[in-house]
Amino acid sequence: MSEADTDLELVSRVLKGERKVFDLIVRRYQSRVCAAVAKVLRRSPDIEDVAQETFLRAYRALPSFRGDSSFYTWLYKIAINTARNHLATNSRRPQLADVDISVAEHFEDERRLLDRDTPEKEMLREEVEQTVLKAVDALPEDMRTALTLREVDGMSYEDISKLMECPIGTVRSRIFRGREAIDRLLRPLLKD
Amino acid sequence: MNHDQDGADVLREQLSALMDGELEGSEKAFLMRRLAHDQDLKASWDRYHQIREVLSEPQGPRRSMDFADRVMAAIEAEEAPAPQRAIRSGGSGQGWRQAFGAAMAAGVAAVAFWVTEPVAPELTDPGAGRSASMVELPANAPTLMPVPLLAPVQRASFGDSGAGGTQLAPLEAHYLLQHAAAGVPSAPGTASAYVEWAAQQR
Repeated sequence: MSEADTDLELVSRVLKGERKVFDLIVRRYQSRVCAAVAKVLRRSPDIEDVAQETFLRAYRALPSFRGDSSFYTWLYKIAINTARNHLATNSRRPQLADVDISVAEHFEDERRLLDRDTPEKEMLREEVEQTVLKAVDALPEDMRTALTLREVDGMSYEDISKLMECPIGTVRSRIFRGREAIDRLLRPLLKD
Repeated sequence: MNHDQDGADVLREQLSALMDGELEGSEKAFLMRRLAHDQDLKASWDRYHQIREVLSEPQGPRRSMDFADRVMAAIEAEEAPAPQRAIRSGGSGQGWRQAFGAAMAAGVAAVAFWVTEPVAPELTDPGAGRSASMVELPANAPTLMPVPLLAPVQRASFGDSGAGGTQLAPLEAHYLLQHAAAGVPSAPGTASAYVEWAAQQR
């Protein structure tokens, strides 16, 4: 069992007609797809549009996904191709150099290029990030280590259990309790 | 902590393992089914991934908070004409009803065409019991006379035909007659009238 297996299961359910399960896939990979698109488009305000187009194309092409590669590899290829096509299509349009300097100042912070949020949402995002980082710092050592090895280093439960010299079940529990501790602080922020 | 809370915790621990690809068998199958409909679990799935996002890609490009919602809205907007697709698949009786309706309309149009088309009176001989194509055509009925009657058709030459190109080949005539017989009754001016005439000329 791996993350790829989880993806296959999600894809399978979408193909069986549970369209809304695709939402879980989008939420799982939205950030990575935006990052992949940003690698090609760099300083472009169109990153989110292209990322959205990537998911739409993936959704349309889902029946052709045969699982030869991992789902994310497949999705990543679509993202890169979509971004390249976008780049080629727009290569004839005026480039950033043609933009007035007062407008260009707004493009200084590359991370802001993806931001379409209102100031309120921007503040909320900042708050979410700060809350997560503070909550991780406040976790007990064993939870923080297990969660960090998983989320930052991408290690499997088995590898973490070897490293921390504890059963896999304990790793699973520590990671969950760590997430829950952070989540308890996030829930009030993200409550609609 | 009550029983419901315990159950919710168990589900979320399974969810945590699922997103890491560490859930197996029946637990996984059950949770997958549950996840598609349980809004609380979906919200946890979203928040757990936001935590991952912050921890794993602190310098990554930011996305809008409502990015996923916009993607799903776009998908739903794209799928709005889906019922049309269902009709094409023939899964319901509605497709057959539409096809039947179209066939009826085509039939009515065909009948209207034959009824309203002017026919030269000298070509209709109800007492003869023969089709119009078998009637001997008078020489002075040029309006409905097929062009081949006035000028025999030249056979297409493929290089080795030494027949002069004025007659139908036996195989051709047989083929055309068979098709004419299988088709609708001949009417003046149709191809089958010519086929019969051409066969008689051989």
